[in-house]
Amino acid sequence: MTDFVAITPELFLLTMACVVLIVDAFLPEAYRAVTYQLALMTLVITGGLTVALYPAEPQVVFHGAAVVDGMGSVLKAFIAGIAFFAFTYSKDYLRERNVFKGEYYVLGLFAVLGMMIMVSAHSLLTIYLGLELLSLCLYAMVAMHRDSADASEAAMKYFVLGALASGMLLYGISMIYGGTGTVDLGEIAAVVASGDIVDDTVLVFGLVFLVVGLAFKLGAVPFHMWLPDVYHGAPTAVTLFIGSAPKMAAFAMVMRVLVDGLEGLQADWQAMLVILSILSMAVGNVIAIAQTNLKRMFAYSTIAHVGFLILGVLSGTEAGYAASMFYAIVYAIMSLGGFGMIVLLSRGGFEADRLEDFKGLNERSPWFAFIMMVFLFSMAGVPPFVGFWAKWSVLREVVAADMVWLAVVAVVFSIIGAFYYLRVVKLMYFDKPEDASPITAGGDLQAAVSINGLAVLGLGLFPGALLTLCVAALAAS
Amino acid sequence: MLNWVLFLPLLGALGLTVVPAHRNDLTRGLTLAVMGVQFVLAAWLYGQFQAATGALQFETRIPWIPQWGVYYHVGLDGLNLLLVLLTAFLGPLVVAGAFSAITTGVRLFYAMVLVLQFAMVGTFLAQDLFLFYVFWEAMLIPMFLIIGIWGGERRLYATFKFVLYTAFGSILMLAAVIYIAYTVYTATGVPSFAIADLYRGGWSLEVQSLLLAAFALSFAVKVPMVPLHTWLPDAHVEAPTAGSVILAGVLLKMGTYGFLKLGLPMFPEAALLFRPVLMTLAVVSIIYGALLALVQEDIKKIVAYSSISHLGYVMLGLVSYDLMGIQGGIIQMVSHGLISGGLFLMVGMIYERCHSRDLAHYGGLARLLPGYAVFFMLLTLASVGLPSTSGFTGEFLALLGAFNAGWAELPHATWPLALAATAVLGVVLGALYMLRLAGRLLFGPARAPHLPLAGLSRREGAILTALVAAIFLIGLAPGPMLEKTEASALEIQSILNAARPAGGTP
Amino acid sequence: MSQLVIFFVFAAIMVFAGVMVITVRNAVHSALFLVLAFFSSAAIWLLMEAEFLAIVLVLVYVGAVMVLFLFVVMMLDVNTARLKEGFIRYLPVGLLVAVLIAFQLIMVVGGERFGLEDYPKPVPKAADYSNTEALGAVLYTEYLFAFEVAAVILLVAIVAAISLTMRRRNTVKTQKPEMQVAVRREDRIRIVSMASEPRNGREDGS
Repeated sequence: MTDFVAITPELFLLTMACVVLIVDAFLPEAYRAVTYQLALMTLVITGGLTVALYPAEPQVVFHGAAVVDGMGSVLKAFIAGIAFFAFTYSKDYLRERNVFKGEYYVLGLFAVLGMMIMVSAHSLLTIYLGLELLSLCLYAMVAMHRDSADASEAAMKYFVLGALASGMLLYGISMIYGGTGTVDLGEIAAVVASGDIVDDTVLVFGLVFLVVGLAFKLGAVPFHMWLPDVYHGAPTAVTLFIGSAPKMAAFAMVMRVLVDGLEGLQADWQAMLVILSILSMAVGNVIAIAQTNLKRMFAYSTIAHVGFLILGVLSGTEAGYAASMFYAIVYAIMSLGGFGMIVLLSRGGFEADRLEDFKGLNERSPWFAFIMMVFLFSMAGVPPFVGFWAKWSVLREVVAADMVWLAVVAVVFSIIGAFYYLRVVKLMYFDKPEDASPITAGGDLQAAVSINGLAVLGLGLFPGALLTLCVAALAAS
Repeated sequence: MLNWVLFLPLLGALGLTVVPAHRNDLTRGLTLAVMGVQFVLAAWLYGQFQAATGALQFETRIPWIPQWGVYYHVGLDGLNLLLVLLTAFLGPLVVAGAFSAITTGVRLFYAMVLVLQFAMVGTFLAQDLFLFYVFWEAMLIPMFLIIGIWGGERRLYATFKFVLYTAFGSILMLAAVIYIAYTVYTATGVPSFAIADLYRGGWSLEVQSLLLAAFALSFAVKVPMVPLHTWLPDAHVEAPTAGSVILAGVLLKMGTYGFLKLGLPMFPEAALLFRPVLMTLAVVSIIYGALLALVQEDIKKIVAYSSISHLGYVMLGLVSYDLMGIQGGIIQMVSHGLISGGLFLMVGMIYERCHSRDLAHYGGLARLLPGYAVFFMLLTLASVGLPSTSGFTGEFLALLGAFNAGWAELPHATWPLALAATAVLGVVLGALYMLRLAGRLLFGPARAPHLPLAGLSRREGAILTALVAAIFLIGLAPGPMLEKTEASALEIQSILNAARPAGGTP
Repeated sequence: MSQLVIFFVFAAIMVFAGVMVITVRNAVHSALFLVLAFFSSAAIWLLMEAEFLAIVLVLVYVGAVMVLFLFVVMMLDVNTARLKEGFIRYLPVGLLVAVLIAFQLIMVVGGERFGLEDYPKPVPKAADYSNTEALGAVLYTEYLFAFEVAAVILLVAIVAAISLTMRRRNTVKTQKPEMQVAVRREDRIRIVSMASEPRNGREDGS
């Protein structure tokens, strides 16, 4: 494959994003749905192209700027798929709030492009640029609902803290560049491995800043402060977008920087990740118990899940990375569904993000109560749902890395975490509804959420295929 | 065929989703039919079961998650045969018993009962540690909902207590399972969870002790053994009748079955080390449970505490390491399932009529409800362990096993014999609290909160007749059952005894 | 030696200007100090033989961005006194943290780590070496990918800025004859059947 063929999905996506932008500008208000359909079509074809161009072996293109490999392709395909569902969920929600504008989809497509660039980056420069592209789109999407003070505040916080994180990342990158004389991840790995650098203090110094930057983007404690406010303040349609696909991109970023580039410093970053992971699981799970707002609760649960996600990476083995990748994909699917349910229940300017809004859901709609229960139990890590396999796979690798104590800590926190998920189940099944009106969401939304829930159940019964995919993808990168 | 027994309830639960929500009669009928067919199939399997071998029969083994060496591996052996039969037998009775008690959310209720049935049978049948764990956890969700939605006044407290206790135990088990998976993989290079492979796993004594402790905690919560029993009275009292029956009849056996199938044979050296502790706790459970039952005023609580006491015999039989004791333990599990299941059903029937479980409100039911009184008396006598009932067979064999072991070990240690002798006290106490319950409930001046009382309906009569018939069947002719369990029990016993220092036992 | 002197002079000026940017009360002064800081850093770049970057810094930042910035500051007449209210109050804490962090950084990576033995001095380029040419040679070849991504980021910045700030003002009434002529029935009325909202939903729902 020539360089340009290798990045066909990205090129197609960029072209289509521009096309959507222009088409949208000339569309009358009544035909706004065309923008939406074009965006969905773009994602489908982009995902299809990614799958069609699945590389047999890693190929570095554009003078080391990007790499096309198994892990990247799998994650990119999943990102496109998850974004597809996120767009589907958001249509009715945006329309009811009069923010059904082409920009949401244009920015969303550009955000997907940013994620894809991050995922397939092979140089610190590309990672940074992809990250900025993604972040810029997300800032704007959070702020899009201009009449909402919450959204504006969230966007401001997100922007300021995001800029801070980018600064950290850049500072770290400059240190690494100073130490090794290159930003190409392959060359950095070669320099670190060659042993020419006698005193690696400068590298470790840079590494600290890189890890801080990455932790900011992942939302790991103690760099998590932005996350609950942003998840809570942003319109739910945006929250579900932020909370799902970008986590996979963030995972890829961690993999690229720490594993592809700085695997030689594993002893150093492993210790840092252990601390981040334990803190995230502790703070996320404990604070989530105190939340009364479902979006905030999911935000803290995200933090806890990030702690688990890190566990696989810090085990430092190929199997561990595969486990983390599995976790990232699974988490994105579950989180998408959880927020999707909030969108499903809200209507006509009425947000269904308080815990009370889920009271007695079983009486209003047994089917969606069941679907929500599947999501919750899956997040809590109860078999046979897929969240259990995700937790299991990372814990297994942590034990394999001779850190049994860490696995025990993780298990203890996950049982604490089970409590707040259980509380929502209790509300849905044991309490009387405050408002017994039936669910009025559109058919496409209902179908999409149902498919999402069945996917969590189905993957839970047959996790083998996805696992094999992750292992194979990492072997080919 | 075995797979049909396993998956039939799940198919039934799926089938219920297409039944219209308001067609309660159809829902009930379908569930009863599914359970009935399951029992017929299970009975047929029981008939086909070959007693001569301890190997697995009706085995199915297909890869589930090949990269972790996890298989869908189910099969019948002498250990789980009777328990599967018991589960399948209680299924239709539970369903029929709940016809009149459950009037809201009927479809969800029966769907949950069916899912629970599926998970329970799956737990018994699983021959792969991982599969076992998945089924084990899967039981939690339906039980959580059954107690939480259709329970009594303090149902939320009870259901959360139940779930947190059980989840705490099973999370420790999960940690142990992960560790086992890892060591097996590093030792052999092939990931495997087949339970048979894990017997004599070859861990060092310290590791075995930790692993056994993790498993034992999880199982001991389920049994429940003193001092991890406090969830049980709450869960039983608050659960709807059907929930109590399943809980007492089947779920509690998961713990003892876990000890028999996994805990003891997987870690035989550590089990030997823990044996005095387990035996002592078993005897403490027998006595303490009986004493607690003696002072309760709530009918359901009396039956609940009696479960703690009765399951103590099971544990005593299992850790006696005597063939008769182990088999007695198995029979006692089945017997307790039938008796306490029956008693809970009867408590439910009187509660439906009078809306009170306070013993002080009742008296002289023998005159008000003669049919009811006959059945209650029969169950009481079975619970006390009257010869010719199943309660006698189970308790007697378990105690006999404990004494056998005690005599055999007398040259080395006196404590097994002392414990066995103490356990006999439990029989006396058992007679005391059960006769106190029956006496105050059935005899004396006739009174009840809601007079007049309707007699037993034909449905109720049929349920109780079936139970009592089964109880007498085991009591009068336990031979075939003992025969079918013998080969497997022998196998477990040989694994356990292999860990003993030579010359310790005959 | 003379290079060293020049470096320290400009570095000192830059740090001084940087401090002044955030401490002076008047926004115009602040902007002017920023210009001074840019000039000094441009000089330091020159010392490092990065002529092109130095010139671009002066041209783009000083020449264009800062001038625009000054315009905005003067036209908006920002009340800077109020913005800085918290500054003195939080200064001690901020200073303490800054000093602590600086101290820790120096402890970990003191000057000796960056000595010439670890990172040898780059060889000076020949007199006719063109920095600009070298940059031009790699920008569209080796760094094509990054360059294009940067361009996309700029495009997104435009889209985001417009979508967030452009607000059609519905209060001003103007006629659009072409739309009036082209109007169809479907544009004006829509017949919907809808379920009634629940009584007293939430305030924001009404």
